[in-house]
Amino acid sequence: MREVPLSLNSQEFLSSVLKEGLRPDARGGYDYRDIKISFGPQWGHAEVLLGRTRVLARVSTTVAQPAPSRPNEGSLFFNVHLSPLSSSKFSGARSDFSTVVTRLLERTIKETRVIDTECLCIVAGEKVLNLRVDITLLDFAGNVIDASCIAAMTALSHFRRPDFIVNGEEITLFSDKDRDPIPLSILHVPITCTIGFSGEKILVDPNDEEESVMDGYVSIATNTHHEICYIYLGGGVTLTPALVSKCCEISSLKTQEISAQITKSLDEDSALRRKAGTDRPSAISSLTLQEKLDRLYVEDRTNKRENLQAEDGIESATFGSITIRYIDEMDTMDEDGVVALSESAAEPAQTIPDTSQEEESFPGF
Amino acid sequence: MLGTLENSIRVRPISSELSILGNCDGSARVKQGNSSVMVGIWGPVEVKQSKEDPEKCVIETTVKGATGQGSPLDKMYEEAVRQTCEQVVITSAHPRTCIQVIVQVESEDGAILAVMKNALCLALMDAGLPMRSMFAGVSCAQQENEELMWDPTAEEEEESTAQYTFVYENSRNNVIYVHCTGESTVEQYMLALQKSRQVATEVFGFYRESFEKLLRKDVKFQMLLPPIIKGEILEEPE
Repeated sequence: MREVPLSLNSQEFLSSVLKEGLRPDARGGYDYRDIKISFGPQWGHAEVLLGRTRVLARVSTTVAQPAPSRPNEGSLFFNVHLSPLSSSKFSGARSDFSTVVTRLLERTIKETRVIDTECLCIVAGEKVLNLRVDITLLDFAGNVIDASCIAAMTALSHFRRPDFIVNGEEITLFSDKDRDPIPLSILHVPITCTIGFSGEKILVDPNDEEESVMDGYVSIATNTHHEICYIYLGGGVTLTPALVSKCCEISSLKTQEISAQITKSLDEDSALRRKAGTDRPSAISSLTLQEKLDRLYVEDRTNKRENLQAEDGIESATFGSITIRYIDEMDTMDEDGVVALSESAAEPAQTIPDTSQEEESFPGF
Repeated sequence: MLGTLENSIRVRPISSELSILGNCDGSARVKQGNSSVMVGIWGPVEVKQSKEDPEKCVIETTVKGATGQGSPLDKMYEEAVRQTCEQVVITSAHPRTCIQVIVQVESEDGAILAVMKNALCLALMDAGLPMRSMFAGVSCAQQENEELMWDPTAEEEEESTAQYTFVYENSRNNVIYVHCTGESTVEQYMLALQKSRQVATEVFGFYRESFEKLLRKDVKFQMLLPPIIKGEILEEPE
């Protein structure tokens, strides 16, 4: 579908207004738009609404062989999809801009070692957990870079990886129901702040209209320790060193505000999940003593190889010389245990309160 | 909301958000339990010359999964979405154009094809495209003990022996799309087909509510809509 360009009249109007230091949405030059962060039912599912720009981030994990150069580290992979849902500008195929955003996220998050990738190692040189972050742009209203970065950092902070144990050559990967998944170890939180330039004027967080008339932009990633992590200069604008350091100051201040908001929304989400009982899928707290003992017994049995192959409810998968087993504890429990577990798992999932106001809910029939 | 379902039929809470994307011509997000799908519609827009049809508009569909690379299953969903669209949308109203349908799965927890169809219907209505009727998707899984379970979660689907997805239209209450996997007897299939219609009626009631809520925000329609009385039961036009 063909992109509809901004009319010449609108372009003229915008440039003249920006020259006077006014912005079309009545913001000041240094104002950031409102950010809304919401979470999905699964771990690592975050949606960020920056003004009207809507970005969905999903984190997933797979077991794979590590790169020979880094045998004891898992990897982090970013995939940016500029969906045609968002604007007629984007076709959904890989474009120059999606490559820019992907590279920027890699430089900001992967290369500044935000995630302690050594924690993702299962067996050095044999098996590691690889993380994949899928970023989807759902609605476009400017500043995709910042929205993607906030979404990626929020989703990574929200994500829980599956627990595993290694015993000799055997690896046991637990499902969320069997053992509580573990948060990633995040070493620092870099956030990008994009600043547009229109003549002499500075436009923090440019929207789609401003993006179409500005001369260029700079995206500066800083973290809460006032450290600069990455600077990207786009659009072919030239900056004086004084302006660069001014932009760094602005970026650093905005990062403080945004990361505080991310922390706040994560806290709110975990409070909601705790209330609904979905924060710990294994729901150990609701088990009786006998059930807890059953669990220990199952865990203990995993250490004995010969018993396991014939057992019901244990599926094994072989990857090369290593066997990975998925243990389904539900089957090994008595009838009551199964009922208690499935109730605690199914009921609260329906009661996750939705933060969106526009939502029209239709509770059970 | 109609509360006409049998006690044996239980479905997860369903919710919708309409017109949430600012650039699309029509959009809707439907959540059923932990399954969530966003559908956006562009159209009628210009069409590539090679695909142009002088008699009707061309429908292009894209389905994207929540995580990972695209899979062959997405292609199957694309075809399913296109078929339903072609059946329902009056394509002859806009010859030499194209309607682009983009389906983005946000989180997947069972009954995904039914959620897609429901979101698709709401998005088509939101885009204001001429349609012959509305349609509603209903998913149903048959358990090992031959009991039927409506709107199953991913786990329930995995444990079941057969899964059905039916799409009903509301002008003559006919079936317009069926997707089945697994093994079942003809009697079981017929029972599922018959009982699922009740769920579809509920979904049509839900569409009505969603749209009333959307239109109430618009001054133009406020006068036309009945006032909200607490506990009022909305009647489905037969």
